[in-house]
Parts: sequence; C-alpha cells; structure tokens
Amino acid sequence: MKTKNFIALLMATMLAIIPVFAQKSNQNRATVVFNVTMDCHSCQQKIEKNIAFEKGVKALDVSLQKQTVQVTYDTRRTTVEKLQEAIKKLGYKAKVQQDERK
Amino acid sequence: MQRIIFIPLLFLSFLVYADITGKVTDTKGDPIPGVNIFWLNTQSGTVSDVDGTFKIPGSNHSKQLVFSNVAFQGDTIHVENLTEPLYVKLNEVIELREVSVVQKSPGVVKHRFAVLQTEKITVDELCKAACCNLSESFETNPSVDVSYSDAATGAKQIKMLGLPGTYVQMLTENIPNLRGISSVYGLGFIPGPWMEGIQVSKGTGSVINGYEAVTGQINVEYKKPQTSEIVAANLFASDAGRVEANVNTGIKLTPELATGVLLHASDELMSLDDNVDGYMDMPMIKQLNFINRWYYRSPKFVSQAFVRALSENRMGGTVDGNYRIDIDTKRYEFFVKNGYVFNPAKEMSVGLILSGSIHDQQAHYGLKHYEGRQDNFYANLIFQTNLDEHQKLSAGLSFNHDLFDESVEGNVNINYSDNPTITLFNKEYVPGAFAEYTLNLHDKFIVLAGLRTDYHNIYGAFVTPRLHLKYVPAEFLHIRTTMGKGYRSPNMLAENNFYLASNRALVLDNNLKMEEAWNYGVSLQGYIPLFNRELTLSGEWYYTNFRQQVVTDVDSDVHQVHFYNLNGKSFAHSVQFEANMEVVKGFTMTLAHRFNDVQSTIGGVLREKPLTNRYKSLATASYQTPLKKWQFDFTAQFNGGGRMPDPDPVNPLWNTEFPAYTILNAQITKYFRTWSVYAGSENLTGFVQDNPIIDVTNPFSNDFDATNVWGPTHGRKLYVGLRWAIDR
Repeated sequence: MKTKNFIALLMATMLAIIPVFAQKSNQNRATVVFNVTMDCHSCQQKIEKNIAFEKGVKALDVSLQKQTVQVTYDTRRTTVEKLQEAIKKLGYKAKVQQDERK
Repeated sequence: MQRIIFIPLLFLSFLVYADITGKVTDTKGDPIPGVNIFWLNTQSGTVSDVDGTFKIPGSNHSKQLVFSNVAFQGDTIHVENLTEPLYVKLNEVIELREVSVVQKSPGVVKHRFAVLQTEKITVDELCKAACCNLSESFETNPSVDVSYSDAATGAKQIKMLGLPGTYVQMLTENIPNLRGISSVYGLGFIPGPWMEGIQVSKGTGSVINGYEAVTGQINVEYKKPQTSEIVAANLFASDAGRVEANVNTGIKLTPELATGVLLHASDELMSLDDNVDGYMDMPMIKQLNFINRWYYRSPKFVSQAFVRALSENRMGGTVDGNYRIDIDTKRYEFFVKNGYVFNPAKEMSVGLILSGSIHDQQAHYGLKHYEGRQDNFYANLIFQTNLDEHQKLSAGLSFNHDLFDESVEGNVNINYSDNPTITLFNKEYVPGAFAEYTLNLHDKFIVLAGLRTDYHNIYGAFVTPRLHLKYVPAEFLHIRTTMGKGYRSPNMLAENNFYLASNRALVLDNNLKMEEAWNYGVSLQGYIPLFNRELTLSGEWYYTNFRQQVVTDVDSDVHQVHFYNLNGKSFAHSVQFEANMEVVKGFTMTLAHRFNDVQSTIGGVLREKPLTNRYKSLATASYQTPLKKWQFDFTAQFNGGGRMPDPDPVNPLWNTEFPAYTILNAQITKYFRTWSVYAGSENLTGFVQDNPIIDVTNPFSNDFDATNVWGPTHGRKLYVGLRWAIDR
C-alpha cells in the first residue's frame, strides 16, 4: 500500500512539473528560422546543445532534414544578429530564412 | 544497410548526367575519408576526401551508387535525378550486423532494420541512471534482469528469457568476453561512463561469434578514440560511501591514427549494515581499471589494438571481521583487429581478430579458499563478400583456447569422493569453421542462415545451425523469427564459486557433459501512428529447450549444492509485451510486462527453477525540457515472486516462496554547456529482503547460507554525480 501511494505521488509530481516547464508567456517573443548547412547528427546535437544556452533563447527546433534551426527568443535579451553570430561561431553558415509568427 | 539519406527525389528527368556531390560520415557524424564510391557494375568511381566530401560524375549505365570502406558497412544507394548533395552515413563494421538507428534518440532503440531482434542501449539511456557499471545498465531495460547471486559478495548476475546470464554470450567490441571465472564478477568490470552503447539481441544470434549464445548476445562497445569526446570525466558519490572517478580521452594524432585512454578508479569509504544483522549490506569494492586503445584507418586497411589491466578487491562478511569474504582479482586483456578490403565493388574483405586474457582470482570465504586462473586465447578469421545486390556471404575459421587452473579448499567434493582440497586443471582447445549467408530482398524479406562446426578436445565435434528470418508485410509491421542451437562447456566451479558463501557442500559429478539447447523465438513489432506521433508496440515469445544441461540442485539437500547432468526435461518460456511512446514532446513512456515459465528436472522431478521471478513489469517515464536543460527520469520495476530452494522439511529455516516486490528509481539531470550534474535515488522505497542470510549469527555452522537471495540487500541509496566533456 505504502509503495502504491509513493508511486502515485511520484507520478503526480512528474506530471505537475511538466506544465511548469511548458508554461510560456507570449510577450516579447519572436521566432526566427535560419538556414543552416548541417551534415550530420552530431552537428545537430552540437547546435542544440550550444544554442540552448545562448541568452534569451526560449525554444529551439533543429532539423537536419530541413537544414533549418528555428529559434524562439526573448526580444529584450537577444537579437537575430546575435543568434546568427552564435551559430556561425560553432562553425556553421547561417542565413535568415524568414520571420514566422511574430 | 541503415542510413540516413536526404534525397528529395525531384522528378526532373533531364538532369541525369549531372555531377553528384555529397558527404560520407560515420554514425557520430564525423567525416570518413577514403570511402570508395562507384557506380555498380561500372569502372566509374571516386574516393571521398579528408573531410568526407566527394564528387562523382553521373552515370548512364547504373543508378546504384556503392559506398564501400573496410571499416564500415558498405551501402548501395539508388540515385536518380539527384539535384541536392547526398549525405550518407555508414555504420562501423565492427558492429557486424548491429544497426544504429540515428534519429531523435530514445534511450533504447529497437532496431527496425536488423534481422535479429535487437535493442541498443545508447549513451542517453545509460545516463538516465547512476549506471556505475555494466550490471547497473539494464535498470531501465525490460529484457534483461540483474540480480545478486548472494548476499555477501555482491556478485551480480543477469538473466535473459528467464535463464541465468551464463547462457547469454557476453561480447565486448564483438569479441567473446567475461566467460568462465570472470562471469561471476565480470559485470562490475565495465564502468558505465566507458561505454558508448550496448546491443542486446535475443535468441542464438550470429554464428560468427561462436556457438555459445543460447538465450541472447549482449555486446558492449567502449568509447572509441576516433569518435569519442576529446576528453570527458565523470565523478560519482553515493550515501553508501561509494566514490568513483572516470576519465576518457580520444586524440587524433594524424587523420589516419587515433589513440585513447580510459581510466577508472573507485572505492568504498565505509561499510554499512542498515539491517543490523552484523553483515555488511554490500561488500566494499576497490577497483582500478585501465584501457589504452589505438585505431588506424587507411582507405583499404583498418587496424585496432587494445590493452586493458584491471585490479579489484572486494571485501564483505561480518562488520566485526569475524567472518570475512575477501576476493582479489587481477585481469589483463588485449585484442588486435585487422581488416583489409581487396574488392570494394563487392565489399570483399577479410578480417582477423586476435584476443587474449589472463584472469587471476584469489577468494577467501571465511575458512574456505578458492584460487582460480583462466588464460584465454581467441582467434577469428572472417571473410565477407557480396554475391550480388541481394546476397552476402561470410565465412571463416576460429580457434579458442581456455586454460583453467583452479583449487578449492573447503567443503567440496567431486563425484562424492570426500576431499577437503581439490584441484582442477582443464585445457580446452576448440577449432571451428563457420559460414553465414544473408539474403535481403529490399529490406522486406531477410534471411540470415548460419552454420558452424567445432571440435572440442574434451567433448568432440558438434554442429551449430541457426536461422533468422524477418518479414515486413507493411511498413508498420515487422515480424521476426529465430531458431538455433547453442552449446556451452560447463565450468561449474569457476562459474559458481560464489556458492562458497554458504556452508553447502559443493558436489560435482565428474562426467559433466557439454550443455546443449535449442532456442526458438517469434516477435512482432508494430509502429502505429497516433496523434502525429508513433506508438511502438511489441510482443514476443521465446522458448529455450535444453537437450543437455548441468543442473544446479540446491533443493534435494539443504546442506549441498549438487551439479549433475540433466536427466529429463528442462525448458524456459518467456513472453513479453512492450509499449513505448513519446506522449507529448519530450515526455517518453515505456510499459513492459514479461512472463517467465522456467522448469527443470531437479532430483528426478520436473519443477520450477528456484529464485526465478515468475513475471516482471517495468514502467519508465522520462521528461526532457524543450531546451534539453533538465531531464527527469523515473523507473518502476515490479518483480513477481517465485520459488525458494526447498527448506529443510523438519526444521525449515526459510519460506518455500518469495513474494513480489517493487523497486523505484529516480534521477534528475541538469545540463550546462560543457558539463552536467545529476542526482538520484535507487530503491526509493528502501525495500530490502528480510533475512537474506540464513543462520546469520553462526557463519561457521552447517546452516549458514548467504546464497538465498531474491531481492535487494541494500535499502535506499542516494547519489550525486558530475559529467564534464570537451566534444570533438
């Protein structure tokens, strides 16, 4: 019985955590898509790992298939140019594709 | 075979003869220079550059572009009207037919494309649990169980398809390893942070690696200097007093030559006795472990060299030191692998593997003493070629030599001749020959048929047939069948010396025969689209039927463990269901359930094997925040009860059954750019087996027995760790 309660508690905690992390306010958010030439899975991982820790980055979708890096960022804390520079610094060519869903 | 290619097949028929450009990489994404690239059945070809790029004129004779390099599995790609660069990923050849599915990697990858039912446990998965060593790597895996073989030495044993780990062929870098004496404590010899991945395949597997696999093969790949981090380090500490440090490096000296070092040191700073029975809950284990490896690759030749040295001391027994278990192990290993491609067009290659080890173990169990040394030498020569587009042939010769030099002082006898001290000296020579044929019809229907014949200097000649089929009637359904034979020469003392941690007398019949079993399996895998995601369902049934077995009888006499030849039936059924899905982005769940029915003729009666769980369920939940900065992992294992060895009918000191129990593990990981920290808990509810040691107060009495173990002997464990790496 004790064990069952424990599992229930843990499950509840895990489920409770998710919305906290998923919560977003849409103020000052912008999304930009870069065309980035990536050759491999580890390039994708490298970009995911590093760009996630750039200032102001809120969401990230790196697609090897589409050769794109989609970044949602806080407009008060970073700019398209800064993000582009960050990708270039990792050794990849990055061109702004278009602005989506301002 | 497996590859990731992004060929938008634009239907522009007038661009046929344009140059084709692209890049070849390995599974890690590192460029592969020196890959032969040519149009099938033509003379038109090129070689990839240092950075893996290539350019080849279009061909009007062939549409099949072949990629071939000795160190990698070749690939043939149908190219038509290509306007964009071609990205080709090749698998390393040492993985033989293991296939890495490169995609957003869930921790356990069930190989869709492999013929054998194979799961790959990736680094991502290994990082979900504390994973101090190989024995702890299966906590989140439903197919492999890990249990303690006794309460005093901490020896861990795996179980697959309900049967002990000795029927699983353990491989490191696709070379048989952890056999004989090293099988008892060997799972602890492979530190978690050293591993690049683990492949688990069920059934008898390929004949290329020998005849020993009965229920499955588990292959461990260590980190490789050419693909690993430049330098990585891991520190770990638990509240049970365990501290560990691991370092690995990979340095490319030239574009062709790379070398790496792997280091491990661990110690236990205190002994714990939470259940206050006077015994340490876990033995105190000190280990130093070292690997140096080299890798050389030129367009047609690839070579690897590997040396390893290990020293381990484990100390258990009573806290006051009155009854002491003290086991010292020294182990040395080497291997050399060489491969040469002499016809890239047909992927015709020859490979030679040489390996050897020296294992030396000195063990004291109270007043008993076991001393064992095992020297092994192994050679495998493999020739491979493609017969045509669909057919492949591998054939070769192998040689295995084992030398066992063992002595036991204590309560042991062979064939009831009462002798306080016995020595065993055993030399085994096994030359063998094998052939394996693969037919692959567009990945829809695959046949893998293998046959080997070996001659054993003690047991004579024997034949090992194996057949694996795979059929994909539709993209969402994969059906596999397997049947095959496996053999094992019994080294009962070497593999069971942990029984000295009881005062049962070890009785070995002296005419023990080679173990022989058939294994059959059917598995179905469904990939079902659901809410724009994919639900993976799988169901499988495996049946192992022993024609010859050495029975370990702990039932007939409570003061004896008797090893004798099977006289009657012995079999194991294992049925498993599994569901896996990324429920919402970043949140993945796995549910699995397995039934075991394991029976053997013990003391003339067909009955359930003792200390075997009747079922096991596993639930795992894993959540990663969108930017992969946090990760939460939770695992629940539900272990079904089972039968205990028969207690003394007059004076029963334990129950006839053990109950079902639940183990919970949880871990949180926080990632930073170059490092990460993790904290977690194993056995969160602190469940421990009651009374794991029989007659615990009298370690020198007849009744003393620390081998009746079915559950954890150590309660809740908390741990923290740190990982740091400079990526390539």
